[in-house]
Amino acid sequence: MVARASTSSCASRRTAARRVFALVAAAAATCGPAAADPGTPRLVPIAAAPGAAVPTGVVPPTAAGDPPLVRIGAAAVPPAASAPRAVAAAMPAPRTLRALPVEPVVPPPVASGMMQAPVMLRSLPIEPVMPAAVAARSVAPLAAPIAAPAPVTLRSLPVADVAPPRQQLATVSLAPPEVPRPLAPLPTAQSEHALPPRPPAMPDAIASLPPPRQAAPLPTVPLPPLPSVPSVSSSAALASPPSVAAVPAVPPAASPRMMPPPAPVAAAAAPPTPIAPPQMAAQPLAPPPSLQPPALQPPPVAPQSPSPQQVAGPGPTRSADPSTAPPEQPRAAGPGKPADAIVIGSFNIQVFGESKLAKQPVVDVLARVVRGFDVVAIQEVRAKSDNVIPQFVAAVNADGSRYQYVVGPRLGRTVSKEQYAFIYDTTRIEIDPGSVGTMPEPADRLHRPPLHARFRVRANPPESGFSFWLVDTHTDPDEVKQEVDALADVFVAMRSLRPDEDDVILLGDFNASPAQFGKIRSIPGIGWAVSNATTNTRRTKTYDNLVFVPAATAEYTGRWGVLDLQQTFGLSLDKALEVSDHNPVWAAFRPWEAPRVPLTAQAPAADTPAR
Amino acid sequence: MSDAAALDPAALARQLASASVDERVAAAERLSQAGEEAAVAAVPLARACGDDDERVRELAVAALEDMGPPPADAVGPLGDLVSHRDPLVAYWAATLLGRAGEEAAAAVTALTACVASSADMSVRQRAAWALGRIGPAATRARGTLETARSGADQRLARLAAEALDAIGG
Repeated sequence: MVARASTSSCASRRTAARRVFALVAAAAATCGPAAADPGTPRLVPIAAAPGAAVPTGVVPPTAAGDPPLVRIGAAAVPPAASAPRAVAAAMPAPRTLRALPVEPVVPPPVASGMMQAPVMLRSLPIEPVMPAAVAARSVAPLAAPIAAPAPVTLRSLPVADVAPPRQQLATVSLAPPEVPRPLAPLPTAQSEHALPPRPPAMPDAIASLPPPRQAAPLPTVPLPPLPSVPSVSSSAALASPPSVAAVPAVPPAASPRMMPPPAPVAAAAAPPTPIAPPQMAAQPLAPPPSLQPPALQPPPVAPQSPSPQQVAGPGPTRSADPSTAPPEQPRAAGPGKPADAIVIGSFNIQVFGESKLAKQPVVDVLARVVRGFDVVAIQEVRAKSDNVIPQFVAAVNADGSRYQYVVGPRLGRTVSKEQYAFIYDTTRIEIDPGSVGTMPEPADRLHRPPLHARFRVRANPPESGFSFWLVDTHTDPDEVKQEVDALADVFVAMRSLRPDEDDVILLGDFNASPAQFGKIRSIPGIGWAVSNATTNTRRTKTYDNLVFVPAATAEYTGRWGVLDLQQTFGLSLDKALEVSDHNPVWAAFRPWEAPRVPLTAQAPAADTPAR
Repeated sequence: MSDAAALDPAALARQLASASVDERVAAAERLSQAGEEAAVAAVPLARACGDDDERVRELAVAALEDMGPPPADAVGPLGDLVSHRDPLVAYWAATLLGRAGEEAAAAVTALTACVASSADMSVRQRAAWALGRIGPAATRARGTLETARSGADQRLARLAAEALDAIGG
């Protein structure tokens, strides 16, 4: 992992900022009547103002004085020059970070047919990061500018590198993504560790899926029920569960659908995930075996007749030519996840702090939930300590999984603050470390400005993997209307941020059902995964969702779900509420990047009936 | 925590005043899981936002976020709490009064004073928002809101403008 920080010139930032502003303004103008409301503040990147800094990236410091931090791994990163002008005056000058020395560990030879090991980075001790802002200001100048064109690809870290958190190798992100800075294939020197070439044939698993053109409109297909639910089956079991470390690894022979298990923890330098053998890759999109993590459980309330917006497939200009399919299958799945789809989840873990982390049965459930997702957006991390997410990810990885995390700054108008986080499976997903930040909103309509990051499915060639923005949000329940409208502007801005990225997935706890999405509904072609299903633990509200433009995000398989904590883990309502008052929601996406559809070709949704 | 307390929000509300931190944490946690049933504990939960223990505070906030409007008999005590020295207590008292809507008309004077003079901007903003939720019954707050509308804080100005629109007249 390489630490980078931005040293781009102000001139280039302003140029990029003005470009984004122009794009945002043009896109916002297409959002229908709501967008034209003169009383509604527009989302204007701060940097659009003359003399201001780059757009997006980091929220300003709070009234309570908390520094605007973004964390990747265990690194706390202060903002670069992306703070609003008014705030920047009160902030210290842009800081520089020292690049941590890293030493590649040469992987051992691997057997034929197995993916070669990526370069593994040895864990290096780092100085304590608290107080983060002070520490960051005191470090040496940068060794490598973040604006350097060379792509940065995160590598899986050995589990031992994840816990304890302060011993992690930090990946540092100071600034929002430069525009454009695509995730590119690995440099030649690293590509030797990538998957070997494969004949450019469409994988059987994908061939078995309906081509994108046929998928419009896709019915929403909840996955069939699993043969059995996870073995935690009663509240009594929750009271004395197995420890997280005791979560059984699924034996390879348990099911022909299962992928090989991950490398043991002790073999951290071994290849993290072998390639799926062809016969496994040929499996159609299927639910995981019964012992696997529960993320692919069917939703408790299956949608009967999804709305066009909910399941809209690719637009008319989407090519269904198989020759456009990437030639190589992405990296194989770990246990519990389909080989031919990735599962993106969202989970509001109510008051996720030290108290919840101290409840081993609760952590056990949470860890099993996370292991079922390739990447999950977390809301409501509430802790003074910075160790909650690192310790939790260590618990997730106790079974040999290789998850990493990104934690946003503490956000909120009062002293009671929350953090967002992304937790992702590094064997299947990589993050663009320069893409992490929060979206400032000049009108201050958002209580907790969303955390965004760009991810990509690991694949060979790398650029064939599905790449996407995730925008993690949790609205204020008392100002839902204003916040939902502001999120519409955020969504439009994110779509305009990079010309090479058309996939934006806004996900989280909206405190609003799709019927209350307001201005979001006026975004051309907009859709959402969860409909006609409750998402809170009490099964009374539809608050959590994944929102995107299906015509652009043609990778969407049409499969989604709500992981009912009670049903999945056999919990009483009270025990499920100890985990959270929200159930996780998810949607599945094909792992290959679909051909890009021009914005102008995407069907407007303003006149599309929605429910 | 007794079984009765586990099921009785009113008992949990009393438990929030326990001298035992563990008891208070347990009560706040149970109330955070009670959803709208926790509304009967609106006032104790607002007070608990000023608890010495961070866990109690965070769990109380979680309960308040999900509880919906307070009962009518809570308006008086909540009106007293909007001037509380702890900004988090005052913030949530104002929030609950706003949720009560026109039923919180008796708290207009307290909320107006809060908009005018609270030392905490988040409290002033939330009080302005609450006056807007009260609507026409908050007519006497117009002068203060008009001042706030032309103030330097953009968010307070917007919320004051929205409140004035809601109040009408």
